[in-house]
Amino acid sequence: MRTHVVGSWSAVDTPVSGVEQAIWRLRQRHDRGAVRTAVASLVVLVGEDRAEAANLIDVVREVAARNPIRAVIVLTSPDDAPGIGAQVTVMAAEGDGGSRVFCEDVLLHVRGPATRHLQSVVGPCNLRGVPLITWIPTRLWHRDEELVAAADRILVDTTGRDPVSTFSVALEMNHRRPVTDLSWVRLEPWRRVLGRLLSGPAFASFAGGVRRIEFEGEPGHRSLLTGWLTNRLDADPDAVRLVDGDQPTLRIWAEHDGRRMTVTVDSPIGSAQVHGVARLDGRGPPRTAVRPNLTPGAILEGALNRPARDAQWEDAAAAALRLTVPG
Amino acid sequence: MVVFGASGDLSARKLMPALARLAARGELSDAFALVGVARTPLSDDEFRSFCRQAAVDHAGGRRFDKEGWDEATERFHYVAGSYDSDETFTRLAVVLDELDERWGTMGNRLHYLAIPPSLFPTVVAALGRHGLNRPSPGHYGAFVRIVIEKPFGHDMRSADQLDDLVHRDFDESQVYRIDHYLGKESVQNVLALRFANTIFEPIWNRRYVDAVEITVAEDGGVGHRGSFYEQTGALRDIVQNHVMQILALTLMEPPATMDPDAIRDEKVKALSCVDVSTIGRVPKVVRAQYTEGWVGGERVPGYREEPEVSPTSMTETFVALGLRVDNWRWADVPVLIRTGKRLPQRLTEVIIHFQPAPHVPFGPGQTRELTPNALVVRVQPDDGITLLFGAKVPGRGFDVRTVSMEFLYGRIFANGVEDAYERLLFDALIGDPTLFIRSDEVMQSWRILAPIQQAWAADDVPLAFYPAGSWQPEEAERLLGSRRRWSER
Repeated sequence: MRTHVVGSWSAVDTPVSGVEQAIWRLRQRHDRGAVRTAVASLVVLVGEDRAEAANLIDVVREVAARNPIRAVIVLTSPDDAPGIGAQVTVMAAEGDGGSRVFCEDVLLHVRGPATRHLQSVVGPCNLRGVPLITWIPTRLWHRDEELVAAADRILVDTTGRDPVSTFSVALEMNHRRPVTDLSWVRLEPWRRVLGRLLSGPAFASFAGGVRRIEFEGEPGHRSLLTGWLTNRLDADPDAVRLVDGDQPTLRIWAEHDGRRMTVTVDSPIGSAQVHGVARLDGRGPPRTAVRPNLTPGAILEGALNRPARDAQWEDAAAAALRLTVPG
Repeated sequence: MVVFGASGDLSARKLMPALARLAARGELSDAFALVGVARTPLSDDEFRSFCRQAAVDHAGGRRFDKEGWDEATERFHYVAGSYDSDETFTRLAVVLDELDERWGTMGNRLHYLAIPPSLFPTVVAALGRHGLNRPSPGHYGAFVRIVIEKPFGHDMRSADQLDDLVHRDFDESQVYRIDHYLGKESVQNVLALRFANTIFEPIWNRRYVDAVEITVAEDGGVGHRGSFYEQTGALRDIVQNHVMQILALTLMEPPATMDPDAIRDEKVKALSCVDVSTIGRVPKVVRAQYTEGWVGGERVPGYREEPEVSPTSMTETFVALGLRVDNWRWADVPVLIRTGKRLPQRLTEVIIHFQPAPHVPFGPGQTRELTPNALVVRVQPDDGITLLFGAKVPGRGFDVRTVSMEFLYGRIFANGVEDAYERLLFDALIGDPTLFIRSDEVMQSWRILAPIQQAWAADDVPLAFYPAGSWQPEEAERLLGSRRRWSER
């Protein structure tokens, strides 16, 4: 698919209705008229982080051709003079066979007191009749905030966050509407590597004999993976040790019938891969597995394509919470 | 064409731009002339300038031929005077006779009442007294029509009185009651959607439809119309006319032909099936008023803080109704109506909610984002139709999600969507009353609303409140019961 910009429009100050009118006009610019093909609305609240907003627009455009969405990225400046700025871009992705999808991204810059009433600004910009997915990447949301209450699905990213508050809020929220954790998607290569290393009778027999699991890495991320592992390996939570560190590394020590197995999985900073090694005492060569790390676009795409509740994540998140709040 | 209230807001915002576009399309005959009547003292030239500027100011981004419009307004004239003065109408008659001579208008008359309803009786009676309700001598084949803007009375009794008054001087065939919603393409398209296709009409009934939901939402408040709105409220301003017309088109049986009376007969029959035995009671009706809140990123005052509004006002700015329609097609299908000011966005739509699939072979986890089929007819903004249905999410699992298939008028017919007034003015000029409301339609709609008005007058229905920028008060959510929710997106 070749993606190109059909048109763009921006205003420093605009009524909210100006956004929809701009999208309408931009669509008309396409030689055959750009139809709405978006299948969902994605609202991303980045707060005051302009760099994050710019980064997210790139990410959204990366996935747009395969996941046509209307993305509304909301930048806030509560201390600025009141007003709403907007930047709208309509994109077309066209395949060789003539297939076309159209999508648009909207960067809203909400200033002044309206930043405390964002739903009144964002609501009219969302598409009607399609799922609304809301994501607040820069902070932990409040249970009752309007943007979250209006959503059909919530995206969270538990990586790097305090696991106690994050997982408890995410799990509670998940009872009301599905929550998709980008950290869970990001960990998919890790889970696949572990699945590859521990499959087959020679290695799987150690599953019940885990003596120790140690994960050095960011909070949230490490809790979620080890939470999942303790479930899958039926491991004692007391055997888990989580260590702060920039370079994520997982180590597992297990015993079975007097033999020992060690597993190491890591992804050095800057590496595009997750690399895993499993060794059995004195028994042949080590088993290795490698999976590529996911790009930010692939992580978002993976999250968008998980429409339903994910029971495995729920179990992993609950286990992660138990690991950090014993008893 | 005679426009009473020619120097007013309606004339400037709607009539002149519509006439300018008709002129640009070449649909105003060379024998078309216009006389403006109003109290404001203006010369013919000043009135022409007013008309020219109004078309520019309210073009709404649509193109029109300025030179052609300037030329058309050369045939515009003005009569200044009080509506209760016979002298005004005597001069009007003289001017009209002159125009017949000068422009060849051949005694044809279209009187347009762009004036407050309180002046209807005065003007209609004066037209009768001065013989302007009938073709003048020597013009026996000519037409004389009168266009009346809503509101058509404020209750059943006053609507009846207005009819009596109009019918003293005009036959019903001469009366064109205008509701601009009927001039909207997407409203008319309900008829095409239902009766020109084989796939919708067979499922347009109680067997397949779970509920019908009609929303007429405005994000604006009452603005400078506070004193008007205090006397009107949402029930009279929106429900009695716009909502009832949309309702009738949605529920009516197929007409035998597109003959005006064939369609209007079916609309009347549909409205006559609305059960009114419980409509005036809680919880079938909710009335509410907006309080301060946030709309479109701006803080807005509550209704009672608006200019020209009483601080103790009980006027409703929101109405929700749960109607029952007693006929074979719609028995037991709830018809849910919601209209209000200061809602989150400007939106008018009809949603046909279909029954859920009787058996879904997918697991509950696979259908979290699947809702029953729905057909959305959107009147504004972006007139069009959206069909919501389930589709498999690409991938190895079998997740099913609701997706939409959309038809947008403005895209398919990029240059063909007329403004509602443009269409209706043209129809009135050529004598096609299909999109105008007949007397018995008005009376049926007041029949439906009468029990509500009585209940409100007796204070049997409490006034609820909702913050500006919300879709409805909690009371309106309770009206739906536990199984349903109002559509909010």
